[in-house]
Amino acid sequence: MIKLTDQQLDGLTEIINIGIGSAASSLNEIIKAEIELKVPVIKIVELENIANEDMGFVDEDLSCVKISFSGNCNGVANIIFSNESAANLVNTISAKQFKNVTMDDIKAQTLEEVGNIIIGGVLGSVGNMLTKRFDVALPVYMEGSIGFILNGNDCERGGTVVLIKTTFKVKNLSIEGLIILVFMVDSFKTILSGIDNLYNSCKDAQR
Amino acid sequence: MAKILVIDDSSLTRTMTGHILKGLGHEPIFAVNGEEGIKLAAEEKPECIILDLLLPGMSGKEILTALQEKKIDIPVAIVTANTQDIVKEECLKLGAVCVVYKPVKKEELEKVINKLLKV
Repeated sequence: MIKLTDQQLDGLTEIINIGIGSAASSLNEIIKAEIELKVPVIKIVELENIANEDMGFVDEDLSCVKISFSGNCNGVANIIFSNESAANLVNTISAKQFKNVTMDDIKAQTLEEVGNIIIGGVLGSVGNMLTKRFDVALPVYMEGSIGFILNGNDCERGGTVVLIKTTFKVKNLSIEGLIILVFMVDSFKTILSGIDNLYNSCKDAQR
Repeated sequence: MAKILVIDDSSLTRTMTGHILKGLGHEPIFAVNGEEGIKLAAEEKPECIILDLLLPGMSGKEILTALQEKKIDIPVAIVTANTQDIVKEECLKLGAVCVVYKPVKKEELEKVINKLLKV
């Protein structure tokens, strides 16, 4: 099984942090409210066990935008909201941009666009820092339980994946989202080598 | 050459920032959290501080407040991945001299340090 060194784990956490920060700024532009960020959690798990991971949602109907990516690294990004958070987010955006359109008509489109912005921000930032390329597929909107959503991450059948999860919260709007990035381990080695290269380019490393 | 305190929990950012600062001829010293950072600021008396915002324990904003309460009068630049304008405004209100965004580039950090050293 792949094992990240402390340095790789720290570097990856920071790079994802930077990506989430960039994505949050883009979302902030749309909804005009401050977004609070959490430090990401990174784990190596078997894909078949991913639905058993504690994601903070229990027996809830959830809204999810799923975006596959390929290129130097393959995987799937998920942005997951409780139905209440999804409705609040859609209402907030639609009140600003989609006047006189019913929510049902625009829910999927709005959340897919939010997904695009957030995942594009995260992967773009990671790619820029590590000089790696990500090709992003069209977003897919789905609803269901956390198990149903995560079992759909079968970018390859079985195998080990690197699971990165983090949450963000929109202040004063009762909107909370969960971002889950699933990287296939084989191609993830290219990310780790990119992190190693970053450290090696600053030879006089600090503790 | 200036002694510059870098407070950041990420070894990657400490490494990259330290590398740039040394290249600019400065002497970086490092803290991994707020408590250690405030202690070093008081003891080592650096000319300026590069402070991360999202830290375990005390946040960057709390550190800014604590520095003022303890009357540690050292100019601080916030370095963060959070590029929201409202966050920048809050940091400036709390006494930060400027806010710059990660990943910080050499030219940008040089300007920031020059600005801090003039305060």
